[in-house]
Amino acid sequence: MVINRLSRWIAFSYLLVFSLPSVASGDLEELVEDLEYELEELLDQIEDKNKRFKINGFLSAGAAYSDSSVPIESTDLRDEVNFAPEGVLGLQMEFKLNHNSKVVTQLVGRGKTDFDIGAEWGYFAYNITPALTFRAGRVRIPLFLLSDYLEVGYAYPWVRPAAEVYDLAELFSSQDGMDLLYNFSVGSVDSQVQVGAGTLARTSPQYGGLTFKATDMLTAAIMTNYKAWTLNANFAVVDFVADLTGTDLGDVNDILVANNAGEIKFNHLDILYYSLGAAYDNGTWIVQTEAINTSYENRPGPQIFPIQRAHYISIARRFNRVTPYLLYAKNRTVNAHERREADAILEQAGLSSLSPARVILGLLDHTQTSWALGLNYSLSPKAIVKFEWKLIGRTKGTVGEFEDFAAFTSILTGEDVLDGTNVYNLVFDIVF
Amino acid sequence: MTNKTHSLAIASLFAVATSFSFADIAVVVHPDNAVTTITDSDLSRIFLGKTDSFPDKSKATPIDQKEGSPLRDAFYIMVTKKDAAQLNSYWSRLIFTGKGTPPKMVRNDRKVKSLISKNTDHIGYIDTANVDDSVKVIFTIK
Repeated sequence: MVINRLSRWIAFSYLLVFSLPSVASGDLEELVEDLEYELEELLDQIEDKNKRFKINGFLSAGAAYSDSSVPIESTDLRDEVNFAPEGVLGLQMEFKLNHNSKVVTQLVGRGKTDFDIGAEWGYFAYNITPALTFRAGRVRIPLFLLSDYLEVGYAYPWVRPAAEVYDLAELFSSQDGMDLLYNFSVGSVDSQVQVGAGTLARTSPQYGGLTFKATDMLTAAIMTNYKAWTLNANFAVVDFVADLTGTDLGDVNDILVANNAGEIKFNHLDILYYSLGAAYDNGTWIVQTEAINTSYENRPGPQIFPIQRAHYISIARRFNRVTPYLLYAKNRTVNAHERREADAILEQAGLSSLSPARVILGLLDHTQTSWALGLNYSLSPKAIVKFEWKLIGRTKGTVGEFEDFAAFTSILTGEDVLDGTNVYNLVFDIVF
Repeated sequence: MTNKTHSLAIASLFAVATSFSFADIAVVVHPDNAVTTITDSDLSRIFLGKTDSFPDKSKATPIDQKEGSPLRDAFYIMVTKKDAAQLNSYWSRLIFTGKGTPPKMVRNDRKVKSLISKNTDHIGYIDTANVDDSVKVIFTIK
């Protein structure tokens, strides 16, 4: 079809050129218009063919520095300039199967894992009606306002979403399963409801290499938009099944059982997430806040896992290309006393404060606050550069977002090198 | 043709943001489309993909002008209060989830009119100087 049109267009051009001397000026204008029209139709057909398959990409690259020698958990950043933590490369491919179904996949490579490219998510989507879409495959779990585009730095004003809040659900960012999206409007208020179910198998680096499987994950979310306002509410329940064999938490459990303190329940532990968010963006001011609560149900025996609450609030102001922002975030574990009881039993059993079994308990406390002051500058409609200074503080005796044994050791030895840690970032965010 | 002409006051903020001058912009639909008027709020919802319906609940398919066009920049500043960078940021949130796709872009006013004249559910925007009988104006941005 396209070839036919191309042949016609070439023939048409040929005739135009060789008949030019004999054509009156009015006819010539008409001919040129016809020619332009033919060319546009031809280009449209080529574009339409290309539109069945689309590729979009995003890239974040930059440098970061922390003045603490203890690495920060989510980035592995410490007291040396590091280019890797900020690096993210994403490629998204969308293949339209027909007018109401498509396959979408996103490949992401991160600097902190040597840019090993992996499928972040990928799904088949089918529009049952214009308002109702069914998706199956690996889909993002809608726990937050930004869940869908966590890696796309260009899409939000900060260097990255507040770790105090977003890292709480780091393990459960995606699920293998299916969901339904339903869009509806009431007057000028537009909403989307999302419900899903699925499973996820993963090894957690956080809890001493604990391998777990999350089964029967159920998620529900609603996002509502009215003019400059966006509100969202999310809920998820995860049936957590873990294998403790050979892990530090397994050792904790063995000691508690041996001392008649009961058995920690790890299998079919229900983790519940609730979160609320609100955002206001009138083109000049951007104000955004979210709060999340995690808790556990169905957990007889010693209470080991942290019940956590976290929130952030951010305000930004656009001045043409420049947008300064302030971001405050806090998370806290509200049941530290329960782990202290378990820790007392371990201590009575003769374990030193630096034994892995006791350290792993201490690491479950993540109480931390941070202030981030930043500025982003729009280099072009598709590229932004961001500068950010972040000051991290913790409640004494907890590790906050700092990583593992070194962090806990610094607390126990009284050095506490983590207090008032400064983190500096320079990041370029690009979409293409 | 029953046209109802609206006008928007150009806030000084947006006058600064749009450093070029532009002609009046006409928001146009197919002459047989039952819609005779629309608010800037509903226009914003349609062109940002928040709704796929006109206020009367009939289907609405927006047609966009090409990226970088002064007419496009002016339209989005006036209707959605977003400049080109903010618009890209907005769409990147939907594109990179697979949940949304920006409106189809065409090269010029003539192509907008050509598509609208063949599709009763289409809505687009053109320079008012290029309005003719193939389309119906339902909103004017001065």
